[in-house]
Amino acid sequence: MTQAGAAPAPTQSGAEQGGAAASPAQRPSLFSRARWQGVGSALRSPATLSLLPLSLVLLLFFIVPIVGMAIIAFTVTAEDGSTGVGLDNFMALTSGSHSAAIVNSVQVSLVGSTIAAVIGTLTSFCISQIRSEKLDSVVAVFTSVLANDGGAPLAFSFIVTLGNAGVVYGLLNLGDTGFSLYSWQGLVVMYQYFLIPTMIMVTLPTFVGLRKEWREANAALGGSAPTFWHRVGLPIAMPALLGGWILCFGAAFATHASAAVLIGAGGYPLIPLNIGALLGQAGDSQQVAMALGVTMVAIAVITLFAFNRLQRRSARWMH
Amino acid sequence: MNATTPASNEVTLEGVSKAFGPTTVLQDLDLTIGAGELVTVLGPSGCGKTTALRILAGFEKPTDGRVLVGGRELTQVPPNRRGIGMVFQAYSLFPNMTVQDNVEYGLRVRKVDREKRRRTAQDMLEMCGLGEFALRFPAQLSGGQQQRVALARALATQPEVVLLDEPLSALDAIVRVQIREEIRRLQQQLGITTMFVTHDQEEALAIADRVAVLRGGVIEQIDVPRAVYQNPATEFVARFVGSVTELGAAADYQGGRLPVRAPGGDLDTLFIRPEDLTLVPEPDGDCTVVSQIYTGERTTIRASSQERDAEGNPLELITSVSAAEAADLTPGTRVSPYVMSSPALRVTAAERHVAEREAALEAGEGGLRAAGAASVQAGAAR
Ligand SMILES: Nc1ncnc2c1ncn2[C@@H]1O[C@H](COP(=O)(O)OP(=O)(O)OP(=O)(O)O)[C@@H](O)[C@H]1O
Ligand SMILES: [Mg+2]
Repeated sequence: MTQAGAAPAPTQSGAEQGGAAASPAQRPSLFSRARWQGVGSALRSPATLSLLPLSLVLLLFFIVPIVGMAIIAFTVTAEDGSTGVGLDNFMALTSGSHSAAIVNSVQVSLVGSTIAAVIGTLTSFCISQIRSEKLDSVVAVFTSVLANDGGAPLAFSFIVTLGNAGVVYGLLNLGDTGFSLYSWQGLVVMYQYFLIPTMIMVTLPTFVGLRKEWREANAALGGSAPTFWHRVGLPIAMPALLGGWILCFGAAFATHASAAVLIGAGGYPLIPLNIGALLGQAGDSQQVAMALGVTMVAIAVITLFAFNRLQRRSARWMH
Repeated sequence: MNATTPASNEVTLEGVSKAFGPTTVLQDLDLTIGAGELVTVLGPSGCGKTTALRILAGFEKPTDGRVLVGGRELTQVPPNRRGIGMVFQAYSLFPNMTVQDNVEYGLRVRKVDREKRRRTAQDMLEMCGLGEFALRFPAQLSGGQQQRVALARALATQPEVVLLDEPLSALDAIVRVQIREEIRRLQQQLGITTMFVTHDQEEALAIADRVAVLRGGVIEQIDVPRAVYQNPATEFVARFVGSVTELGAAADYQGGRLPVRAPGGDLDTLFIRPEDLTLVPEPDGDCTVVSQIYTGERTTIRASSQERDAEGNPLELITSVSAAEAADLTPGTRVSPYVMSSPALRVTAAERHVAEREAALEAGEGGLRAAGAASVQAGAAR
């Protein structure tokens, strides 16, 4: 729209076609005055102004830290103390504990978030079938509390119940099954306590929002309940399900406190734990920590894009 | 799927009652819709129209009574095995499918092969004037277009019976008239037995073979539109369908100039349609013209009386005249009413006294009274 305003709109391109339809010759060149006036007026538009707070938050809490982190990560300190740009810090990640941490983090998050996505989806679905507004709002409150209920207390409660001396561990003789809380399975189980609520929180509104008319139209057209879910319910819910899954992946991926308490340092390397450990050491370990951080952000961004593609394909009908 | 004998798609609700917990919504309702007939169900909000329709569709189970289609009892048959087409008020299209896929849905469920599906859907869309929209998603259509698609989708499986629940109420006046005419045309062309629920009385009269007027879960009258309008069976119908002037008249009054008196006492109550009432300018007239509303072909004249009713409000008279006649009836003109043909309904004093006594006895049944009161207001609002 701003573009249409910026271009001295050729009369034949109607309002709905906008400036995009203008032929190249009629378009102002990159440096023409018209274009800069256009940019100026776009900056003063209410849309831009209302984006300002978001932009500031992004800048201060996202861009600045990442850029800072990246600068340190790519800075190499030579023996003589001089610094330069290089990939040495990243080379340090290709072996040993750090490469294990990257693999572990991805594995635990992927397995944990997938299990949570499946269980959470089924739970949301069942809750939505009960069709009680009261229940829905109670669930909304509880899940939002539980979804943020990670951290050290969660880990301690796990150690008390499922740890090697834990109550439930003893009762169920979990030792015989080879289960250990202090392993990646332990992490996956522990993460469920905030991942499942996260998933329910995100997907319940979608299931509740499936209109009665859609179900009834399906029935009037001869469709059974499975037909409805196969052709209508799930396809409509899919974007939210994928969104919930990625959110769970992110939450698991970034979890630090509960993992730190449960695993401690070194037992089972994870990216956040290794970063924490590195930051406590001297020398150029801080630069390696930042390289690990940059890797973490990169993985998160790649995952986000992958999910986004899936989501967009499943939501082709949304406009 | 298609009709084998003409009577095979006659629809009957037989002694149907429905209660939601303590509230009775339908009471011993009998309704038969003949094969290929379009019956509109008209009534004020909350009178049970949707409930009746949903019982027919199978989305609600009646507390009592039976549902028959073509003589076959369907009371216990789930909705997806009834083969009854349905058009909802709004937002019923599957948002994740194109118009084409929406229309094909019923055929896909019936495992009709792809080629045939495509063709039928295309035909259906053409018939509903939607050929060019086949590949759009519902969110890219106007409300009127969406309802046309919903209609095409309901008709694609060639159902013998179609139910429509206020399918046009979300649309603006012009589109509403257009689509209702299309619905009527298709319904007649395909010979579909149709129940059309609406609370718009003009719509109900315009497209129906017969109109059923529902009030508080009971059918007050079911008849051809002309009869419902010209010979309403009850005061409620007289007030709810069309505009009406209510005036008291002596038992021996037989037409001509009518001295304006409030209904009540030992007077009969006349319910007079606008076209049966003439307001004649007279210097000593009982009434004064208060407004002229120009509606194009006709002009609606409202007048009010010096005479007051029991609550102290003036009586309101309503008539419609041609533009030429309206020139003599400017606001402020003193007029007298003349009843030119027999009124739509005449309730004698004796009948009214009986009804009043019955109403007093029924006073405990709050739901019915509330429904009645609401409808009186609806009538008065016009
Ligand atoms: N599932 C339900 N549970 C309880 N009461 C209900 C239910 N469905 C309808 N009712 C009640 O039944 C009465 C009739 O409802 P219905 O929907 O049939 O009215 P309607 O004539 O279609 O009204 P409207 O013109 O407003 O659509 C209303 O008083 C309503 O509150
Ligand atoms: Mg209704």
